[in-house]
Amino acid sequence: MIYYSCSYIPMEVMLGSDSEFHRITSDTPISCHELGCNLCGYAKTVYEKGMELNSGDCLLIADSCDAMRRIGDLLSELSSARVFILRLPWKRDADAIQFLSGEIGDLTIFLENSGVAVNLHKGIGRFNDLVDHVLTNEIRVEGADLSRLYLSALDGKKAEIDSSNLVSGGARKRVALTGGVTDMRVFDTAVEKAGGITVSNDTCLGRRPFSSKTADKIEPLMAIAERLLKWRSPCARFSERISASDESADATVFVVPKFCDFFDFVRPLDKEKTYRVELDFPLNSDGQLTTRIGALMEKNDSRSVLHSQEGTAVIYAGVDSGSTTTNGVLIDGKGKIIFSKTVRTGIRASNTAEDIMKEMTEFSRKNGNQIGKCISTGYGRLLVSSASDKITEISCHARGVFELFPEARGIIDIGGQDSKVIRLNSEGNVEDFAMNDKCAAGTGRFLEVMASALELDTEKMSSLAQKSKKDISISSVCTVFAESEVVSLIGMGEGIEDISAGLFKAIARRVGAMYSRLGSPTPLVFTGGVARNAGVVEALKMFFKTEILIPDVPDIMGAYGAALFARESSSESDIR
Amino acid sequence: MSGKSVKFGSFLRNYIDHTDKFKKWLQLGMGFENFRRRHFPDRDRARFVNTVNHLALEEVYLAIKGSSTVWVNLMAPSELLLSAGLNPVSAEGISGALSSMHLEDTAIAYSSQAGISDSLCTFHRASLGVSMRKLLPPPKLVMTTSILCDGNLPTFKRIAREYDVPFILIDVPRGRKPEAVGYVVSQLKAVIGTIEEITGSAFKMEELSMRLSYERELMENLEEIKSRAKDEYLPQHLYEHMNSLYVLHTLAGDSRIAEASRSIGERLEAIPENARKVLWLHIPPYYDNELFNLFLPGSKNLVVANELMWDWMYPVDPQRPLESLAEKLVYNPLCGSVVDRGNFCLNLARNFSVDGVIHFSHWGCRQSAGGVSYLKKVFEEEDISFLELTGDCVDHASQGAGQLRTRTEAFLEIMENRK
Repeated sequence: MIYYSCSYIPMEVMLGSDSEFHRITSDTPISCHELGCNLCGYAKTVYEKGMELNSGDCLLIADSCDAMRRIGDLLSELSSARVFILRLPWKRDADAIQFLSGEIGDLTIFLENSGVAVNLHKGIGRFNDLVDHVLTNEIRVEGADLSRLYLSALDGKKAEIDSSNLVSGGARKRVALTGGVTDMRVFDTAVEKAGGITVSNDTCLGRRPFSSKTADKIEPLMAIAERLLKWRSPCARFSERISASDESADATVFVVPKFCDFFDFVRPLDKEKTYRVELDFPLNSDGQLTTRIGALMEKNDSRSVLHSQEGTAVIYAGVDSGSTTTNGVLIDGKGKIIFSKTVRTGIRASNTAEDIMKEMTEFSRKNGNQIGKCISTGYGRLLVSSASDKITEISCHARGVFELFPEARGIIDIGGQDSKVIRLNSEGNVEDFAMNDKCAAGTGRFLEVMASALELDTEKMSSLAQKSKKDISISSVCTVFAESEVVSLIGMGEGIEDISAGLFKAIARRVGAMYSRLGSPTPLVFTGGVARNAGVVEALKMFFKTEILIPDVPDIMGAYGAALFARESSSESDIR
Repeated sequence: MSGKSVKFGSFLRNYIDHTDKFKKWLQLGMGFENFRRRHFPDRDRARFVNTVNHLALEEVYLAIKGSSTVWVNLMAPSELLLSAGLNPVSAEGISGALSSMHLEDTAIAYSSQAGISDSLCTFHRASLGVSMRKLLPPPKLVMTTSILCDGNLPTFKRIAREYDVPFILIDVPRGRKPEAVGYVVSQLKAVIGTIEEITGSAFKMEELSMRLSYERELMENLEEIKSRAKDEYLPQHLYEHMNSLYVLHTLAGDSRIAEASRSIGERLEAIPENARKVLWLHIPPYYDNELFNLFLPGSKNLVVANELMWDWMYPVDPQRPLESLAEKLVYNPLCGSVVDRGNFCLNLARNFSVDGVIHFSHWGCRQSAGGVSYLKKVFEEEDISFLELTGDCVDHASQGAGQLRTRTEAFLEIMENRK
């Protein structure tokens, strides 16, 4: 069996043999630690697979990046398989094509020496046939079927298209995918959970390798080299702008693989509909991705603000099921908060949310009210079965803030496990947003870990920080690193008050950088549980040199926004 | 160096939001230090070391002044630029200069705000930030090679775009294959064409040959250090090793460094008895740090060689200037596989008969950190102690000072026990 790692490995050569071949992918988390923490998950996946192969296998690796180059080097030494590394030029001109054709020639010799005969003319014919199959069928299927079409083609196979799976054109939001390598199965699931469907895929595991055919009238090595460098859509390593993949989609997700040096530089023009996410490979959590995609799909929906009849006894509920706390809010027909509660989410998010719902239902009965509609938000929003609708916390925070501070144009929301920044327009609609990636730097969890390292609670940290006299800088990169840094600072005899102030500044820097990417819109509102911490508020004020508006109860803004959406989308039939 | 730099940086920070004033003070301060290093070198140090320290600073100073500068990466064939009267400055060196003043955070934050990922190397993020903030005047040209790492192409291309100046990429295929030499020669010819357009005058090949003669002489003189390494060494602080690796790449064709190398043999010192000799792999941090104090010249712990000082020392041939420059690029040991790098480093370790090896894995440098597990195996098979230190060469906030010290001291203790 031939295994390969990158779509710059010429498929014509593999198809020109009668050997089976397989593009290395994975959907299970990687356990390999010997490669250090800053190599991408795909490179580690290839390393793990390479170490499992046996002497009858061939492994083909393109040195498309530093990580793959080093993985190739290591596997050449350590793997039982026969390993070939294809040197890929950085240029795309005639000299580069000439150079690459020599490399492809070396690849065919390598395969033949490994007992795999290659007929390039036959390979080019089969490849062009495969491209025809992909191009014909990619417009007919979507979602998991689209992924199946591409993933089969990457193994040189034509996926059978079942006529019952053809494009349905239903009410789902259409999501386009572009950028680097990503775990398709998890991505499709996350999109579907968010209420959408993937309708196009222009990544390296998608259509990019099949974007053009190979000329069959010139010398085959040159033809293949030319197809790879000039005719197919280039990888971001060539530092050329990538076109947004599908104009007809409602939203485009641009995937920047974590620890990849290229995709940051070539993002598509920042269109309203495009959103950049930094993702690891394979993805081992899809909750945050579902929220991001959900918010992206909601972003361009303008929501009209309706007002119910005065004097009605119908009230509305919002439940924000977050990773750390669950919040419930009840509002009356005028939008006034009549009940709110915050509890720890614990290990059973759905039970906690339902308990809050029960309590709110009882509260309304006691007061002679009826809950008209409930909307859930937060990571656990899909788990709240009594909610009639689910909206992401991005939209809900924006809605809640806009109700209280109509002048607001920017929001920073720091929750337990994540931080978000949002830009609003004058109608209160979300114009753009960003979220932290999987790393907990700059979140409530970060504060808790640091407070525990200092043997304090977060409030005490905040009051101590006010007495700080010395400027201490702490890494903003990672909770784990920062914790050991704090421990060293303690060991060096630095004052707790100075370390605390340094930590608050680290959070402000981290979240501030994210906010600046949205253009630092003001007036700025700070929401989420961390907004109660005076130390962080002070550090953010210093960072932005601006005043910051804070709601009376900053934790419940998501639930409040959800309740407002419930009120605005209600009709008589919703009354329970 | 470091205390003064940090104080100056702290003064400059007052003007961080007033770019014009910031630039004025920066130019004044660097100009003063350049004058001092040039005319009042430290009498206790070897002439070669003083020259290196001066040139490392002068290069950045010329970039701050905007004197016909070309921003290059560490592995660019800057001999071509020197021959045309242009002043190469390594963008990594600009990041390092900021870092030595503890000002790198302002530039890094700028690139971060532009959406550049935190996982990209801080050498690149800081130099990008400088170009985005226009903290330095525009260069005439931006030139990079595809060696040593991935970050070069996108970063340098973006720097050129920020300044709206021409950009050159020299693609040096990895693998150290003879057939790549022709591909590189034809690119070097194209570079000469661009240089002629920029300078408006014809490129003089004889000037390039002369630069290569200086370089050849430098290499031959440096070989003396290697040949006497069993008992003697050139005393250098860790930050001076860093200056050397930097200057020997970007200014290898400068006559002053060749001249200073002539007297190198006179300043070699006897290695103290019981000294622990270390080979440094990759780059040490630029900012003042715990490691500087652990490896003082004359102490028991000596860094006797560093990898990147020697990789660029290739026997160039002034009679075949372009071919020989192309060969220097193609056959660079770091342009090969991790096995090539391992062989090169192992040879250095043998030449300098070191007791231990420290690999500083700079955050974001995947080509270097990605090979550490192999290098560790190679050295341990030879019974040479090996330590990987993880940290950041530029971002002083990410150094983890206490940890660096503990890990290094524990390593030195292990080396002691093994002796």
